[in-house]
Amino acid sequence: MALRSWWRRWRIRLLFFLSIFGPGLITATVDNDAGGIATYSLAGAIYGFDLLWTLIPITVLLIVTMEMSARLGAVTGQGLADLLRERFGVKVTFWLLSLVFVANIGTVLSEFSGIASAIDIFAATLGFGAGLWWLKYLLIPLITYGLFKVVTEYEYTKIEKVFLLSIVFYIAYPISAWMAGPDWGTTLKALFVPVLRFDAGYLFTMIAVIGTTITPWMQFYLQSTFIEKGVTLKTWRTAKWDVILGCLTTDVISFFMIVACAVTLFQRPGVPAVQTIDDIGKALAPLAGSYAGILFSLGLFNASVFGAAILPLSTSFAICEGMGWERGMNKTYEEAPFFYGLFIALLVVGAGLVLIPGADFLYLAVMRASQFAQGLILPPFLYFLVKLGDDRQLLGAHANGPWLSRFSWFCVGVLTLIDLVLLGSTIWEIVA
Amino acid sequence: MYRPEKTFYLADLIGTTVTDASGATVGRVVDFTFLVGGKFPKINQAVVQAAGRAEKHVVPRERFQTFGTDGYVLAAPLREMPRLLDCPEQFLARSIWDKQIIDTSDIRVVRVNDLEIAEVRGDWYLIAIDVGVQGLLRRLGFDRWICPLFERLRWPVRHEVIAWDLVQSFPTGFSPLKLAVPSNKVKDMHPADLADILEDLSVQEGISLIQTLDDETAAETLAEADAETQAQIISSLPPHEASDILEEMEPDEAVDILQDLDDRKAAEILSHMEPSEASDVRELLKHDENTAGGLMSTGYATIYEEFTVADAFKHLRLVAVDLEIIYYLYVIDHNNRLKGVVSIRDLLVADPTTPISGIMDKDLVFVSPETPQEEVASLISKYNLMGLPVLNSEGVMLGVVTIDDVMELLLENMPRMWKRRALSS
Repeated sequence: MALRSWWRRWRIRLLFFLSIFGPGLITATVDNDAGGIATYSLAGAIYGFDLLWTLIPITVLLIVTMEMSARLGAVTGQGLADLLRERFGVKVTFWLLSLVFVANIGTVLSEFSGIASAIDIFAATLGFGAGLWWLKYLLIPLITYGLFKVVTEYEYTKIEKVFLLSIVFYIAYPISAWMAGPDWGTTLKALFVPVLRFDAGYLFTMIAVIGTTITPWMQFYLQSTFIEKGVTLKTWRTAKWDVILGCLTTDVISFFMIVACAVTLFQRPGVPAVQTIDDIGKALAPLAGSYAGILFSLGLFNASVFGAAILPLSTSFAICEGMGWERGMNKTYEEAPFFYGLFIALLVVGAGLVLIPGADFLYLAVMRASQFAQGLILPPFLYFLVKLGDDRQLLGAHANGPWLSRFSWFCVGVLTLIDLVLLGSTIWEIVA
Repeated sequence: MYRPEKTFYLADLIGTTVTDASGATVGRVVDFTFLVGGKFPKINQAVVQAAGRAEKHVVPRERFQTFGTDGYVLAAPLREMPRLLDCPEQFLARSIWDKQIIDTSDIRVVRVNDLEIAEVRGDWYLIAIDVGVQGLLRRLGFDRWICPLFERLRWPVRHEVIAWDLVQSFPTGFSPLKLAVPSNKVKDMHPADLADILEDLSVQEGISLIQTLDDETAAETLAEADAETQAQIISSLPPHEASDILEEMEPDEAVDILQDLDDRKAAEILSHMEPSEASDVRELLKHDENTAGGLMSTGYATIYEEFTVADAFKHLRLVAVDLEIIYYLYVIDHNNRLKGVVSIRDLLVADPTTPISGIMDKDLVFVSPETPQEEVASLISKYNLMGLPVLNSEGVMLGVVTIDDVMELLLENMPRMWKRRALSS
């Protein structure tokens, strides 16, 4: 009897959890988009286990920041850009959104680079070699048009769960890492023992790893999905676990991605083992053998399309929200010209630039550089996010506690410092 | 109101230096306060930030020798002016800039980019809010070069202002103090327009908007909003307020909302409702929301076969005020079984002494409470009905599904792009 009532209670909780479950996990899955795959893979391939230790502080910071923007959404019911505008005025909002916009153009470009690379690798692995070079010129315009149609005409949230399929692909990394047989003792040690190096390349990759995991646009996106799902304070406790679980999942995957690439691709410290994106796919060879290319390209394709669907939309939404322009898919083109204009422009620019002949060699560089840009704009963005989270007038009893606030400010300080050290060491290397 | 002699924008005024009589800089203007009351609020004080110090002072207009675009010259030393405290003043920049406001003429929520001020016989009044791109550029300090540039390109930057008496403010997280506006313009808006605005607001803002309305308007507004907004707002309101609003709705609309809430919340709201309203609602709640029983309404008129046309009119006059459906009168026997139907048109064209049995339509289209809503919708559209009676297995009348109960459904089944076109054209 007791067992039955216990089950009843838990079944209700479980159903309730599932009903609002999703925003956190989905947002976290987008985290491992084209840029994410490229950045983590390169981190493992170039620096071996040396960057693994950053994952623990990054995960903590990811949870702290995601929780903060989700809480802002649940308490105020307003989007992040709305809150920035009302609290800090138009100038701060404009410049901050401009930074986000520039970094997001880069990331949209990286998603399309991911799609293009996936098509190239798929064709190459099937044995067509360069004979199918034209395939992406056919497919990318079609995919772009399809994305536009799907996002504007259907309830996007109803189909976004399809993209959770990418989780299946990500499971390939732990398995591949396991089969490659790294020395787990060394791996664990690398996870907990920091390696401090001050050369520009190392710092650059470190900022890219931070920037691909914690990105401003994800905070905007998460907060708006929270509002759309109607998460309020009453459901907040459950929704919070969804966010934390999503953050943990994404970083466990990142960990195995770095390990798999470190074991299979890393050769000597500092020597770049990979030149192009198809080399990265070889990290899956221990699992898939000669089919590694196909597995990799399918996964990359799914992740990139997912990113390319969400990113232009969420960028355009955040900018229109901050500038006070009409927005949302329930508006017509005449009512919301800026919203649709920005959305279409981002898609067209993304798809157009990657199709410039000869751009192939830049795909990998774009993917990592865009994540670096996201990392670079993180300190100013977090500065304002934490200020909002601290605001007692706005959040009342739900404002950051004293320890959370101190910890967040400490993180903002450290991130700023890393940015500055990189700047310093880049100048140093140029001068020297 | 007299014609304004001059108009300015707040963005151009803020940041101007304040000097004393000798011309030495003592601070700069950071904000203005205004008086509530009248059609356009009067600006009465400037907030001055003392040069090189953290303090801000509130300076009444009369204490300036010169006040305006020609400069601000103080007649008395700044330190003699009262310090700015957290007093319940109404500020132009702090309380209105960058906040959301309801534009009651175009029915939308807009963000205030800038404020337009007019000088009339030496006094300053807030006359309009700037919601256009030009205001945005002015705030960013770009207007001086971008606007002439686009002018030359023959693509002038949109200038868009809304008169102050056409806007309605509402409290938000950062300005919990509601700006008192002379008349509550929201009350004059159509509930369907209010519902559009409600859908654009966050839940918290929506609640504060609903709370400014009387129960009847609130009920009409919520009834027009989409199901998601309805559920979010009703479940977030205190139960007694929610029940007051639901009591004002047609029982079938109230049921629609209650069915979207979780059971405990619905029961709590029901327990706060008047017993008679609550029992109507409970009766309807027994049916699945996607069937005729869940859609139907109980606000219809019934008459008996032996009535004459004149009797029917007399009866209708008595009961019509509380009814949702008056286009049809349903003819029942003394066991509540449906015998026929007459429309208002039938009654109007008939002689007053004619018995109802002579003109009623006995060829009935009806459904059972379990009939799925899609079938109800297709019957209504096929027979061009305004309402469709719902009968149980003994032929006893339970309720009527009206055309607007299935309108949403007919629209929902259209692809989104069509719907958008249909609604915008």
